[in-house]
Amino acid sequence: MAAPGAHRRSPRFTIIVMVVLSITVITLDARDVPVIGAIRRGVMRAVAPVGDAMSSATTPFRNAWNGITNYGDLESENQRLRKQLDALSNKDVLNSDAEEQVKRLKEQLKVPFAPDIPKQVAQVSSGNFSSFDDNTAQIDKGSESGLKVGMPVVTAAGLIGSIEKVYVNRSVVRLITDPGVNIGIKLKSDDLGVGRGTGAGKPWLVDRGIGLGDDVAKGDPVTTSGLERAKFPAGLPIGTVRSITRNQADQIQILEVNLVADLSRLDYVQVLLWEPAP
Amino acid sequence: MTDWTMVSRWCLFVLTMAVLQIGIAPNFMFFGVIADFMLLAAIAAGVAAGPQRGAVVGFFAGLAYDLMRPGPLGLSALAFSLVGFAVGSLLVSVLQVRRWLAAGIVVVATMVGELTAAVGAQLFGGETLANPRLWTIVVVTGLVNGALSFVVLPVARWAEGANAMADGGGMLGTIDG
Repeated sequence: MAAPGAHRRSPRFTIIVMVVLSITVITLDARDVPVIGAIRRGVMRAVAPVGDAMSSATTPFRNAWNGITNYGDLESENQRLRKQLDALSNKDVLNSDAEEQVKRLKEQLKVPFAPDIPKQVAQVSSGNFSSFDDNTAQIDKGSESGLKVGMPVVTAAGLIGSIEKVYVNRSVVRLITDPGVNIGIKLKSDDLGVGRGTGAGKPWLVDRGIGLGDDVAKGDPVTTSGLERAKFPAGLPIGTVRSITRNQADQIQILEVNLVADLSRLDYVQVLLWEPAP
Repeated sequence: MTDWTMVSRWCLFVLTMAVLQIGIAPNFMFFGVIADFMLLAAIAAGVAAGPQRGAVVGFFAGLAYDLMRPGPLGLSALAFSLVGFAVGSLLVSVLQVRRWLAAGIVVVATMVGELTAAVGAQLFGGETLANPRLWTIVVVTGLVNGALSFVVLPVARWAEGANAMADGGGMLGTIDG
């Protein structure tokens, strides 16, 4: 028998063509050629319902699977929920019906900050199809709901990211845990600095702008600075200072920040209809 | 002359893998890692049908993957095409590959493919190499794809039809006893 693939005429020619095609597509995408964007939007529209439908259909199996593979996490989650249940039972919430729960969900969505900025509620949908996309989330609202690239995304607790890509009825949110996202921040003492993510599940750091003499303590709130041309409006809660490291060489203090929003359990979010200055 | 039956089978194969990637992979994670069916499609094509098919199927599987995701379009197409071609080229001089060895090749090729995609994404402004779970993703995806290869490789061979590298003592026709 001939060696596998030996009958092929020109595999080298084929791979050269494929590489050239790939580089062409990468270049066209980088230049925002309209036809590429249109194809992408079309595919996203087609993919979204498939992903959502299969996600719903596989829910019981997924729950069982998670029970098997994440037993340790489930135990700690169970403990956390028991504590919440204890707290809630004191408020006679246990007797509430579904309507009451929806009402409470709506209350949760009442964002206590940025009162003057109009908001759009969205639900985090299925959509991360790769392990390398853990610093992004997809939401079920897009340009038809008035969303635009750069708009901040928050939960009732605080900032979670900003819109990176917008399709007709879907958007991609770049989370603040992404190491490429730098945010101007303000401390309780009005000192200004710049913070950034270091990856999902890793500390959020403020490692620029906070001098050794600046007044900062553990537990201090960290909010967006909203300075001129900032990517976010002022006063959006980011987190609280967890630890402070004094860096004598660079004459700065490096702050490790506990994010106020739980990015691992995103469900409903709100998009602030606010666009950063170009 | 183009064998349209074979082309349609490969289209069906890639489409099926895409549906599995969208609907199954994110819902059934291993150690928090999402299986990579699209890369497996490219590797399976290389193993079952040689470098040419590996390159072409890898390109289209990668392109489909890129279209579903927020990253640069064409990056996975490039990486998967190269991996499919490399796997096919590696095996082209081998007359027989036992099933366990084929699975081992899929494991290694998947790890190389994931790293190639991560390096590519890093070059285009991503922070994939700084991802604290990079090695977990690479290793777990490799092992999962290796296990899935026992099912996917025969399907890839079916897609290739009579040209599949399997007849008698061919690589997929040989069963490791």
